[in-house]
Amino acid sequence: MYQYDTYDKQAVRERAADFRDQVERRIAGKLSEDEFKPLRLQNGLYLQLHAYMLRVAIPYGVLSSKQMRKLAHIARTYDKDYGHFTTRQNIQYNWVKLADAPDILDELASVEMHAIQTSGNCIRNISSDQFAGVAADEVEDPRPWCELLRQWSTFHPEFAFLPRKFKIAVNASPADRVGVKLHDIGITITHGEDGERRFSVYAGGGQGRTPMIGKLMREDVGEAHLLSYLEAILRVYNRYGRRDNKYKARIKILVHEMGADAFRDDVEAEWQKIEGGPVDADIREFLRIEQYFAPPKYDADAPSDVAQSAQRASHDAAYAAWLRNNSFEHKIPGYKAVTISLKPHDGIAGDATSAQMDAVADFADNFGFGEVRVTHAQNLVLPDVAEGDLPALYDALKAHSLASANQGLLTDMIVCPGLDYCALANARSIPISQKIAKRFDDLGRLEDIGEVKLKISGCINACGHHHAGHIGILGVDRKGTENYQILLGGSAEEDTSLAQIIGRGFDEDGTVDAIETIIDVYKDKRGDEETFLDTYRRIGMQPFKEAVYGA
Amino acid sequence: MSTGKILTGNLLLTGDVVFLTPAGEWSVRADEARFAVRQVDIAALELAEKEAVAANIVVSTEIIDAQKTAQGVWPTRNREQIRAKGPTTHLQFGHQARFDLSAFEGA
Repeated sequence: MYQYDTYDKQAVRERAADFRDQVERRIAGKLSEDEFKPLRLQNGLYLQLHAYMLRVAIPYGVLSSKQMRKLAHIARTYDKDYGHFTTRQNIQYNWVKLADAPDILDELASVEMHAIQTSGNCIRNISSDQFAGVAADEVEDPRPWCELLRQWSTFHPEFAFLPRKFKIAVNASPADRVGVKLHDIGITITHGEDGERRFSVYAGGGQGRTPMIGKLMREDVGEAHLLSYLEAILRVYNRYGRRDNKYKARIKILVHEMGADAFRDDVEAEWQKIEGGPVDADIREFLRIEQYFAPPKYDADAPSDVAQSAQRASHDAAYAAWLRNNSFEHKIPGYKAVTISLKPHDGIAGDATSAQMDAVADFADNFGFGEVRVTHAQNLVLPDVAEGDLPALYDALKAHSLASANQGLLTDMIVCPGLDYCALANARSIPISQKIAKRFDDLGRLEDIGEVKLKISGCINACGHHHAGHIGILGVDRKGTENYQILLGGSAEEDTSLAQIIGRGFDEDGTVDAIETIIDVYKDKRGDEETFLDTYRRIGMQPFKEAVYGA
Repeated sequence: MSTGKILTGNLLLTGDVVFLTPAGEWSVRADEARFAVRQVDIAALELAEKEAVAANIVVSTEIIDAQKTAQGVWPTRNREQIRAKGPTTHLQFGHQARFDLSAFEGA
């Protein structure tokens, strides 16, 4: 993985020192809250319902075991012994004290981490495929490009005060595992028949209160000109994006209002001015970065060691289910990428204790090459596990309550913190996810239902991605009472679609009942090999609506 | 039961949820909050809010709806009840971990 050069190190340390000074001045009363608030937000420090919350950047979701141990240490030392992994592949600490925040930033800097640009109207953490570099289906490893974008976007002076926050995702597989078309900019890397690398660039996607599917801007941006093309998009957005109304300030509104063609034309005009200029990275810089992502030294004998796992699966149904659901095809024979579910049935999506984080760091060292990934679905991944090690890893995960075999199944929910923590939320999200998990607590039943992406948000801002759920749940406040709307038919994958509301909302228990009814309709109507989403797309909303509300 | 207003905020240093008491201090217990019903008392809360912000003691202040029952003063809205107790998903955290607030319905 990438390692900081002297510039990176200096910049992060200086930023931490700046923030220490700002905090000291705030506590001494030399800065007012109005003056201080934008400074703390630029360092990822929010004030939520019960305390300060610090959001730490995990660039494109990649962590070393050393960094994971540091995250565990921070949870143990400065917070309440746990952290919350987010849909932007970051981690949040929910109980931070203001005076501790500079110390935490110093701790992070010591392992080449920070909280810069995890808040504010700037380019946020670049997100990517959790299986980047190891997925059997990828055309290339997207991480070097993510790192190039990280360096371009970090402290970019022109884009520090955009009309609104800006999120970029990079995917390099035919399967979309990042939600390309649901980002402000989504990038897909392809290789043409001529062997040349091309970037398909989408703009104007997003969720929130006005969900939009991103529009294809260009599908042939060459590798030498990616940065100038992105810069051109950002410049057009920065120039014309609305600043008078934060609810209409995202790029998706601008692209929608201008029309994709007019927006594209403006981008082209801007691009002509800067293409090939100093904005575009010297390809040697890319090659320098790429070296950091060279494949590790895989064991050539790993394929000869796979019998043990198959044997275990033949007599241990729980192991077999975990293997089936939580392991992912690796590009190297004899290896698997393993998803560690942070969705135990009685737990909270994305939460991990410091002991669990330390354990995962150990597993990364003992069963891999010291690397961990964070997924946008709030799980963790060990990217390089030799198949012969899978039984031992499973046993080790089980001992730390990390062996839930529900990856991709209905209880593998994305859940925002909701009204239990978030100052913006209107309803709680976590309790309803726990009730759903309890209702569907049988793995055999879950596997029979198959792939269902259930996503829950506690307000219209859609941090829980409810628009992109096969089943989405949106919590609202109806006359002082929590109420939940159910949506069906969303997808963040290559077949991107936005979920539609089925009808009037329900209370918490009513929502759980309705979800069960919806699943029953699917089971009744599904064709051979049809997933929930397939069936919904074939039969439409009406049968579900009739079952939930009566004919 | 009567309805009125209370003043809440978060302590600058810790972020802890606090409520202004009749003695003009900040308490982590909502049931100890100064309860204002008359317009003149609500205006006094507004003045106290401005002073507290200027003194850099609390941030994110807000005058919120509350009700007074036999058990005492308690916020009206679900959101504020969760602030007053702590997350419903982590009963070991927040003010509910330090005090018995079970008498207060909601959240």
